[in-house]
Amino acid sequence: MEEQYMSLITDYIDGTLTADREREFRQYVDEGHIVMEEVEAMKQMQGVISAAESPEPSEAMSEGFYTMLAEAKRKEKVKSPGFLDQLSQAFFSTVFGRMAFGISLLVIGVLAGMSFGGSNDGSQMLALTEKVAEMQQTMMFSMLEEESVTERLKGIQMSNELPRSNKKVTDALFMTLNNDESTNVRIAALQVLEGYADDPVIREGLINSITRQESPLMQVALAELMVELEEKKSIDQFRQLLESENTPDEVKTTLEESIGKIM
Amino acid sequence: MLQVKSGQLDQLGLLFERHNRSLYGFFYRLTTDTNASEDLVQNVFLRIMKYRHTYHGDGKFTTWMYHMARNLFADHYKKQKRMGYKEDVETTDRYFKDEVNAESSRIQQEEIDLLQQALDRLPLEKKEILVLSKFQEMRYKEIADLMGLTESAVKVRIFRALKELREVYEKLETRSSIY
Repeated sequence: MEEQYMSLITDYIDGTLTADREREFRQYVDEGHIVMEEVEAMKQMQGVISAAESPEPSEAMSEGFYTMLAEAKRKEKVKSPGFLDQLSQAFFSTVFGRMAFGISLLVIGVLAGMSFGGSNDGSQMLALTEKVAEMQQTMMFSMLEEESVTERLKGIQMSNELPRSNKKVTDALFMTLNNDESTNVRIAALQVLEGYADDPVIREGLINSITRQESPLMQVALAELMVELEEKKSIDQFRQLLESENTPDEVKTTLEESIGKIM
Repeated sequence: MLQVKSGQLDQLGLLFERHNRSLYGFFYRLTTDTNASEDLVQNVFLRIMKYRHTYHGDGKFTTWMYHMARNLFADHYKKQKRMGYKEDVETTDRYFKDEVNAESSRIQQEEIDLLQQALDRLPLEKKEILVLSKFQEMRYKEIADLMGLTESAVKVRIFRALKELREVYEKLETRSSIY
């Protein structure tokens, strides 16, 4: 069979023949180049395909993806202090830098005053932003309560976009960190909270969380974090874990090393 | 710049929600292996994340994504072959075994299994073009872009693949009705 017939038949089966091509098709059928019986059988085959259910992936796939995404975001965040450090270095290390910083603040202030002054656009904008943040927050809370691990992971992702000083948000994250049954979700919560560890209250919460973790993965993750933060207050908590019979030996070795590094 | 990057990362979640099922369907139809398909989907998104700077918005995103998916599948396929993977007799015969125990009400399920079996017996090229066009409902224009063909060449290939699928399917159907 010639290729021009094949292309026509494909369109016929899909029902996408234009009037012109339809005439052409009929002509080839009449001339016997295209056998209708065969075409109809193929159309039927296409019907079987359309009726086939699409295979569905398991929830583990989404979990895996969101864990990977959280990890990637964390890595990007780690890079960002480098950039900020460079900026602060540029602005605050010299008198000239400090002056430049002061002047740019002034310019920004004046520009902002000019664009917002005299109208209430600015306050409307602010109200809107607050409203959106409020909605995101409510959504995040309800997602953290979901039964599906994926939804809870998404809830944690969402908290990244909310203002960091929000106590309700961090409380919810701690609640998840200490109580969620999925290690993936707890790890994700830890990754977000790590970012706020320069806040003493958050730091305290993280230290208190150490003895509440039963999974070796979480215990080790917290140990690594405490080493990074050089947090001496965590040592007591780790000692409690070392004394516990439930702590696996490999974890104990890691904890001992971590304590050594912190001291 | 960093914010832009992180913005793109947030969007990755959105892209995942939008495309994970269809990518999974693509891999599953080609491999009939749940675990391998899920891993392959994961790898596609890893690549998207890694190479997102190379996507400039020229051409459709799905074409770009399937381009990666095809490459990953080709790697997977080569690896399977190297490992001496042969068609799993158990998988192929699953339908026939099932049929002995199954109730007649499972006609639709049987058709799907038979369909997958027929698909598995096609050469990879034909199988892939059918999966993309008929199962994933990708437009011929996109398939043409993806495979570097003209649209009419795609239609010709689809005709040949669908014709062969029907023949194989019919044979399997006759065989199963004898049992």
